[in-house]
Amino acid sequence: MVVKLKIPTALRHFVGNQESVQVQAATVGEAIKHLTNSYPTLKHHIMTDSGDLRNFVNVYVNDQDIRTLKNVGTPVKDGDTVTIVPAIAGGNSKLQLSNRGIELSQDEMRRYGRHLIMPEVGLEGQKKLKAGKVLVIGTGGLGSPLSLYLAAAGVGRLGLVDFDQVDASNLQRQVLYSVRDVGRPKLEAAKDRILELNPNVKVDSYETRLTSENAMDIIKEYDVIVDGTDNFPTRYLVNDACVLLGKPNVYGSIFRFEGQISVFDASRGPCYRCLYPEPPPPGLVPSCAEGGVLGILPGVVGTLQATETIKILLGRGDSLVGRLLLFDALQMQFTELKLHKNPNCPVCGNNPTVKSLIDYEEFCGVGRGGTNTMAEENEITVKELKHLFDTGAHVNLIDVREPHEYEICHIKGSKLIPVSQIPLRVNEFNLTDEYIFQCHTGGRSGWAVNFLRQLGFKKVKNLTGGIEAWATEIDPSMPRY
Amino acid sequence: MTVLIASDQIDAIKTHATSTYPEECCGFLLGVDSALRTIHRILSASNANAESRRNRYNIDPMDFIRADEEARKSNLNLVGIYHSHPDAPAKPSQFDLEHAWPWYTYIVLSIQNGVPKDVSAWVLSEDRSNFRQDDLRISGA
Repeated sequence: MVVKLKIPTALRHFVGNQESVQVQAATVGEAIKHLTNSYPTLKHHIMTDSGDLRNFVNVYVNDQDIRTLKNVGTPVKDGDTVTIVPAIAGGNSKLQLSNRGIELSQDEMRRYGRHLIMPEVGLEGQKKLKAGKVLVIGTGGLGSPLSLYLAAAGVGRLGLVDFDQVDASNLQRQVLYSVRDVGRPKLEAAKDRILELNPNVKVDSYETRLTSENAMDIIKEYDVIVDGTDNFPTRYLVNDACVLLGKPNVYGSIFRFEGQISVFDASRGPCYRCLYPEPPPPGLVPSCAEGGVLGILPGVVGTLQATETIKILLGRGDSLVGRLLLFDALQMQFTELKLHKNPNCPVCGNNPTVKSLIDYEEFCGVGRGGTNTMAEENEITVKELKHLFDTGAHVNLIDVREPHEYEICHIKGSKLIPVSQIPLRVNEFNLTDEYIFQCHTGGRSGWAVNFLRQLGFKKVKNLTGGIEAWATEIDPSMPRY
Repeated sequence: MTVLIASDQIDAIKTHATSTYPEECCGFLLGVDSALRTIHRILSASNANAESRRNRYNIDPMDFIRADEEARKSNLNLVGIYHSHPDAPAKPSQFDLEHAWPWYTYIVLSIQNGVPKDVSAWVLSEDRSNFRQDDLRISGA
């Protein structure tokens, strides 16, 4: 087939200043191949190194976009016109906030005086903070110092996402809350505290779990997103939504004495998936609820996140884009790692495969032996366990927590085998006996049950909710942690 | 390369940028090449970016095709693109570089607090590694 390939002005000097080139081809792909073979200098402007069309090259057959047809496989016939149409895109990478129309009251002038006399902030900068809209996802350990400092600094609008209630065990680190707040919804208590601190702040409360259904709508309203979550599904969800919406994502995570901080902004650098393409197997990395966290640690990491947030709003300084900051409180050391954008990243790479939000629970769990895949028949409730004890049945209860947790509290008759030793001590179990596995809340013991089931142990069960459920439902005298 | 543009066309770009501030504006440059490149007309386009127009612009391919036809009718060529950088410098960004086409003149206008400031012109280098600044001359009042 002889088709006419129309060349945009930008590329004509590569083809001897012709407006169009006649080529023999059966498909669009063949036509473009002939063109780039005849005019090799053209190639890297329209093709990637891996031989695909660059994503800013549109190709039309007559007046139809080939994306609505069969892409490069679209057949062409004699007399067709194939047109290369430049997709024109660009823009300023660094989001600079406008402070037009923002004024400060006399009260605000006094309040922010220490900022106003800094040349890097000044009146213009303070107005930018007031114009700024920041979404804090999670109002726990990280969200507490974050929202307090952002509110104190004069960020104009703070969105808070959480669905939890204040628990006594939160007070060791979640400085937003007081004893009188225990039992209250976190967002209600948080809003009260923030407005006490700075009534100029507008607080938007989203009392919900962030999901693939609501994330885009919530996130798109804000300039900067701060991730203060403690679980992998939400972390990947926040990352992907921020990449899709072009929002900077200020990331922090904590465990025991160690923290990580970075700024993921896919328009300028890597995203969370460039760093961690896949989540760890569920149950393998303990959460803070399971592994513990030094109460001060979220204070350090959260205030570093707040600092990065303020810098983005001000448009000042060097951000942590492309850098991962590691903090070790025990050694009192900061270490910095360089991060690189992964060109094959499924969400921010050259040929993304994730173009809308997916099911993150599934992404982080199903099919990989996680607690999320635990079949119901492999679970046993604390009430059922109590009943077994009451009837005098022989119960093999295996506690897979760490020795120092066992010291705090344990269920009488349980045998301690920390989860890390399970693979090494498989020979202590036999295939015919029944075993019930238990940890703090059910994550680690779920991993152990799935591990043993894969080895052929059929009579192993997971205690739903772990010793925490036992303490709340069966034995209120048991210390909780 | 030297790029020549009449001051009333620069004014038209500034008016467009002011009207869309704090979002980015974008449009086409129509002109002819001889010893230097002369831009005779600008054609404004709408920013088709759905999510983040404060720091991004896209132009609909159909707008591109129409602009190309319009250029041809006027015996001009589509020789480049202009866009604004609200509250940011008149320099192409990394994002601009990744999406740039060769040969086109890219005019970038900085607009600060709603007031148009610096304007500059750029062209992509042959190996796509950076932009070279063009000598932008504004003629006549």
